[in-house]
Amino acid sequence: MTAPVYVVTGASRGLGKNVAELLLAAPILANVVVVARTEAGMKELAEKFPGQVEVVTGDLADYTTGEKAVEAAVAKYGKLDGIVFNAAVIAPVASVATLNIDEFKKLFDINFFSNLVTMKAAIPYLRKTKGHVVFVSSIASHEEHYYAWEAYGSSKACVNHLAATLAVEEPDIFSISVDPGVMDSDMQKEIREKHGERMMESHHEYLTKVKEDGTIASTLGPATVISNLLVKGPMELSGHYHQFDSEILSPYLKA
Amino acid sequence: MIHLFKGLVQIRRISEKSLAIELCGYQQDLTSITFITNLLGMPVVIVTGASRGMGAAMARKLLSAPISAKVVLVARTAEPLKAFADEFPGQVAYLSGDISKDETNVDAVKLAISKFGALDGIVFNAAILDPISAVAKADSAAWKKLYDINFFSMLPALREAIPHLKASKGKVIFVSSGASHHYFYGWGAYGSSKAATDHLAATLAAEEPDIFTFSLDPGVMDTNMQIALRETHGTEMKPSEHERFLSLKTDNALSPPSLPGGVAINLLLKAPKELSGKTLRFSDEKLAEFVDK
Repeated sequence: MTAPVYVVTGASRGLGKNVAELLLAAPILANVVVVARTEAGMKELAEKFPGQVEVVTGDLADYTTGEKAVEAAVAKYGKLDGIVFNAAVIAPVASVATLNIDEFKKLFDINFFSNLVTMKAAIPYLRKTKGHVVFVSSIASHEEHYYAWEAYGSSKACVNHLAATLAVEEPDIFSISVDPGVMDSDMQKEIREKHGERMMESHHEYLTKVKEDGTIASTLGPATVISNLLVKGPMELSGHYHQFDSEILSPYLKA
Repeated sequence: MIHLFKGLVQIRRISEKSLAIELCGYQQDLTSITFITNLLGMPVVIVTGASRGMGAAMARKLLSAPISAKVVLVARTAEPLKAFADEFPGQVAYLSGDISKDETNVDAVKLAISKFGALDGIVFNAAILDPISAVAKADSAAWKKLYDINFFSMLPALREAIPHLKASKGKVIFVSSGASHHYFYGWGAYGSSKAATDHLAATLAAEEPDIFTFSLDPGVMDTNMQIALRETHGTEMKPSEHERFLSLKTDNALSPPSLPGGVAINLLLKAPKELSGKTLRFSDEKLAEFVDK
């Protein structure tokens, strides 16, 4: 049985890098194509797991980046078993009354349309391997309507919809959308330090508090769930959206 | 000199032929009595996609008695809009243009203010269905074009409109779809754009407590969009799902657009606070009181 082959986007840091590490390490020992704008974190992975990593550096706002990642997986490793659609941006954080429309559309290019184009390129290969895709989503996609989070939140609502549509269209491909919760990552740092003024004060205070008092979760829990769903998510969960620490996903929280 | 509200209103002679009324800083040409009728409570509402189907049905309900609203109608084709203007003189301003361009949306709001002096509501109705196609065959340019019309277009409209809607405690109705939360083969583009629409309705209500918003699923109606669905899109859909739309037509089970359209307008007028930000199907029991008998 050859090692599974995965693509992970936004893999240079944070949740994406953690997911890639879990996939590369034992017991999974996957070959992983890592995609991000900045090379540094991905080079570290390539050095730590020699021969298992293919680095694709590029901005996902350019749709060919995702296509290149799929092609790289197939060219180097001969197949594709799954994708973790993790790369996303949070800005613009702004009320609808003050939004910059061009920034809003650029966020959609990265958070949503890029996933669509990459998925289209990947489908022929994923059908062959009965592959799995996991989309990283957010509670902002539907439950909470946070002041000034329309761009990010609506893009994640669209991601959830895409995951569910794929499950309907591709019965041989497992597709799921996972809310990873608030994690100690650079995205949260950006929210705290750059976007606080535009947000509702109580929301900003909460996110600042969990960092300051150390209760903020690490990326490990969500990364564990995501990597396990990628490797062995069961078809009865295909098309769903769940929080990573929900009851229904608890079997995948264990390593 | 006419003094409607002593001290608040002044009539000024601007030239030999025209008088202007100035009220609280707004200056209006007296040859249109619209500003005065605004004082009497006729709302000013923008309706997009107003040339036919549900949009035209909603425009008609707004324009007719007893509502007798002032409307700004937006669509790609001018003739049906002009026909409304001819049928309801003094009540209609219209704009034919491409809604995927920011300027069209901004201009619609500006037209409401310049012609009628205020903005009380918007009905975001314009949308396209194309492309119906599986993700495996997705044309990303076509998906983006659909998003430009169905979703992104509402953002510059709202950005321009919000100050006026706050002032008037205005209402925004979004026309959504069951496809926003039910998943059909080939419907990823349209359905996800409506999921985004529902999300926008909720966020806007959360951000602007003075503005009522609602996202209405109008169900399946007897309109041109349905004709396109039956006649053009069958090849890209699951046969059983396409069949359902064909049967609805042959069984005469399609709603006239005035039915869900009526619910939309009644919601806009009554704006029940507890429903602000919500998404519901027009036939939901919670909306029973908003259905025209």
